Order: sequence, then C-alpha cells, then structure tokens
Amino acid sequence: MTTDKDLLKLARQLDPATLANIYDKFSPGLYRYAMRLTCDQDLAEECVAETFSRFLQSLSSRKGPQNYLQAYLYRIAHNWIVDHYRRKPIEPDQLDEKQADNRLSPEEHLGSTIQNYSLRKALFTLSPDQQKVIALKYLEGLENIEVARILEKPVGAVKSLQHRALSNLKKMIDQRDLL
Amino acid sequence: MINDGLDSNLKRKFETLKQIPERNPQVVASAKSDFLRQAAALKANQHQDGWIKNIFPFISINADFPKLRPIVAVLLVIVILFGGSAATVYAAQGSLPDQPLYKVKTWSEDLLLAVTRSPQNQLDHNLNFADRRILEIAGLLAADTPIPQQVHIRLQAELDQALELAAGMDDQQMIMELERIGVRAEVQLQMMSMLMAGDTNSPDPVMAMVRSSLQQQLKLTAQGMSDTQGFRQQFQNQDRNINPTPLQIQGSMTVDSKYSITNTPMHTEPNYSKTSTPSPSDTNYSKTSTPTPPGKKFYGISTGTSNGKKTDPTGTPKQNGNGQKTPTQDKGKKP
Repeated sequence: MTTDKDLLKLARQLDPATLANIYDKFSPGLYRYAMRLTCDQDLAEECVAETFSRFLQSLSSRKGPQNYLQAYLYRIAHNWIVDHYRRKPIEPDQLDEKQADNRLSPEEHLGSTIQNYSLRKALFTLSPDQQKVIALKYLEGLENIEVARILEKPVGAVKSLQHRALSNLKKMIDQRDLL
Repeated sequence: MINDGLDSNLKRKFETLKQIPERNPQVVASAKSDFLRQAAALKANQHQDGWIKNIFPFISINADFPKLRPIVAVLLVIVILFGGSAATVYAAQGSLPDQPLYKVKTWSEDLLLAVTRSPQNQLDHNLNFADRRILEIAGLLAADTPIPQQVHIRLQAELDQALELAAGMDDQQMIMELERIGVRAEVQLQMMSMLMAGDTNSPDPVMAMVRSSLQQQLKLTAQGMSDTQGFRQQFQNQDRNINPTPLQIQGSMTVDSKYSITNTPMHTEPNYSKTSTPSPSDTNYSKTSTPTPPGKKFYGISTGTSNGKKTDPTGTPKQNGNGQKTPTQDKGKKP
C-alpha cells in the first residue's frame, strides 16, 4: 500500500501519474468539505482548485508536507475558506435550482437553506481551530487523531477544543435562536 | 466515536449541512486536467528557476547572516566577471523556444552530444533531450504560445539518434536499451495525450506531429526487440546509404527496396511542406522524413512507393507548398 510519504516523494518530482492519483484520492473529500462550509458548488470547486494549486506551488518551491498529505490539504482548504469569508462575509444562501436536493419539496429546501445558512454563520463565529474541529469531526466524520494531524495539535488539545466549540456553538444557537 | 459530546439537536443540524449535491463529473475532469497542466508547466519552469538557487545558494543565507554580505558581493562580482558565460549556458537550460536563451540551450545540447564519446552516454543524452522537448511543449502550452516546428524537428532527430545508437549495441544491450527507449516514449506519449486533452484551443498541428513521432518510436522499439537482426541491419543499411534488401519483420511485414534510404544533408532548412510522417499504424521500418536541425545527423528512411502506389504517410496532416492541407490527405487521416 502506498503511503503518503511515498506519494509525496514522487509528487515532489511533479510526476504526472502520482499527481493525478493524489487528485483522484483527495479531491472528492476536499470538495465535500468545502461544499459543506460554503453551500456553493462554484465556490467549493474554486476552493479545491486553489488548494491543489497551492499544494503544487509548495512542492515546486521544495516546501510542502513531509507526510500526512490529507491533513495538509484540509488545512489549505480550510484557510482558503476562512480567508474567503474574511474578505466577503457570509451571506444568506441563494435558492439555487441546480443545487436543490430533488428529494425535498420547495418548502423543505427553503427551510434547509435557512438552517444551513444559520448554522454556517454560527460556525464561522467560532475561533479558526474550533471551526476546524467541528467541521472535520462532525461534518467530515474524521477521527480525533486525524483532526489532531490537521490542526497539528495533540489529541488532548483537540478534545478540549471540541468541548469548547460545541459549548460555544450551542450557546450561540440558544441565545440568538438562530435555528 | 464520531458524535461524542454532541447533543441530538446539534447532531440534527449538522446532518442537514452534510447533505450536498453530487459533483459534476465534467467539472471534475476539467479541474483535474487544469491541475495536471499546471504541474507540467511548473516542471518545465523548474529548470529555469532552479539555476539561481543552484548558482547562488547563499542568497537565502544572506538574510540570516548580514555579515556575509560584503563577501557575497565580491563573490557575485567574480562570478559575473568570470562565470558569466558558464552561467548563461546554465541559465539557458530551462529556456523555452520563444526565449532568447533557447539558442544557447540547443547549442549546448549539440555540443554535449558532439563531445560525448560513449554511445551509452550519447543515448542517455538523446533521451533526456527528448524529455526536455516534451516539457518545452508543456511550458509553451501553459504560456498559451504556439509551438514552433523546431521543437518537433529536434525531437524527431533525438528519437532517431537514440534508436540508431541502440542498433549499434550488442543484442542483449540493444534489447535493454530499446525497452528503455520504449518506456520513455510511452511516458512522453501519455504526457502529450494529457496535454492535448487539456488544451481547450484547437489542437496544435505540431503536437499532433510529436504524438505521431512518439507512436512511431514505440512501434519501432517493439519491432526492434522482436527482430534485433532486422532492426540492426536496417540502420546499417542506412549508414551505407543503399537500398535495403527485402527484410522480414515479425513474419508478416516486409521492408523492400521500395524504401529508399535518404541521408538528408546537414543544416537543411526545415521544410514542412515535404514532411511525410508515417501513420501510427504503419508497420514498416520506414521513418519520418523530417528536416534535420542544424548540427544533427538525420537517420530517417524516407518512404517511397509500394507496388507503384504511394505509401500512405498519414497520421499527421501533410501540407502543400503553401502550408495548407492537400485535399487527399484528409482521406487517409487516422482518428
């Protein structure tokens, strides 16, 4: 089985087959992650493209990760999303037909859109590390050890961040009655 | 446990955020192609950027050690004064055909081949230079610059020379080298297909010619490995500039005297109006009659007539004297 270290060794040589393999392996997860945080397909695709572009730049300048490629890519993606919303504050989602879930009625779709917007707005008021813990653990379903790698923190610190993040999130939801 | 510490209300809210529409496969393919093109362009530029760091590795140290600055300045002056020409040649190694230093690059390649005595090393150089040509194409495509025919001409000469050098080796080594040449051509071909797939503009004719040359190279290496004697004889005949005797290849193919051997004079000006690139499906040992770049020997065998009929040199579009396709060429064009 090819490890991240093996992949990165070849990726540093900008080997096309390895890079294609990396793209196939990680882009779906990154897209899901970006999509859940942005609720915008174009923005999510832009995030994935920019993540891989930054990854290439770091490889060509002989930087980049030594191992744990997934963690590295998620870090880039999350930073890109945070930067994006720093420049352009989060706005209520547009009711986009192409993004609508066909299984939902228009009313359900509207309700879901509002709920998503409110939850994302609350999420982005947390500290960056708390956002990452919530998004990676509860939206992406990653284990604590994987979240710890992405945050470059010990598992204990991740648990503590998670506890504080959930508590803050709940407080905000209750106080503002957002949801 | 994924949901530890999560109350049911929050869990439900998160579930709604988890639902996302499916990703558009066309967008994915296009994004992946862009990513790979970007990688190819970066690889092409790596040589170009790398020389500064290789020659002046202390530049980054300079910021950390300000006391070294005067020494660095003196060293720089010395390097500029005495190492200017060497640095120019080194810097030229990453240049692209549309850049002024490209001539220095090709000149240094020719010089390196001229001073290399060992056939093995010459073969290695030719293969490396062929790789460079593919990277140059990637770099030009990334910069949205038309690919000059010169790139194909040089590549063809390098491919030819690699085969000719392999033919001069003993059986065991020749098979080994042909395999190596074949693998290299296969990788280059994959790269070309990738670049062509990612090129949203109308396909560049030079790219099609390059691909055809690589396909031909693959075919020739495979044939050479299955019939070493015939393959070697073919190249020996070329050197003697005589018509080859009928030659059985893989039991079914015949190269007979209809394939006249041509040694194109050196320093021939490229003339694509006379180019006849064999089709990838052409099973003969015939090679492309490609104009030879200055300073390179041409080893190709020109295609002649078969049973009074012209052989079908399709695979890449031929051009008439005006650089336009002739009406009959499209008929024979392979997909």
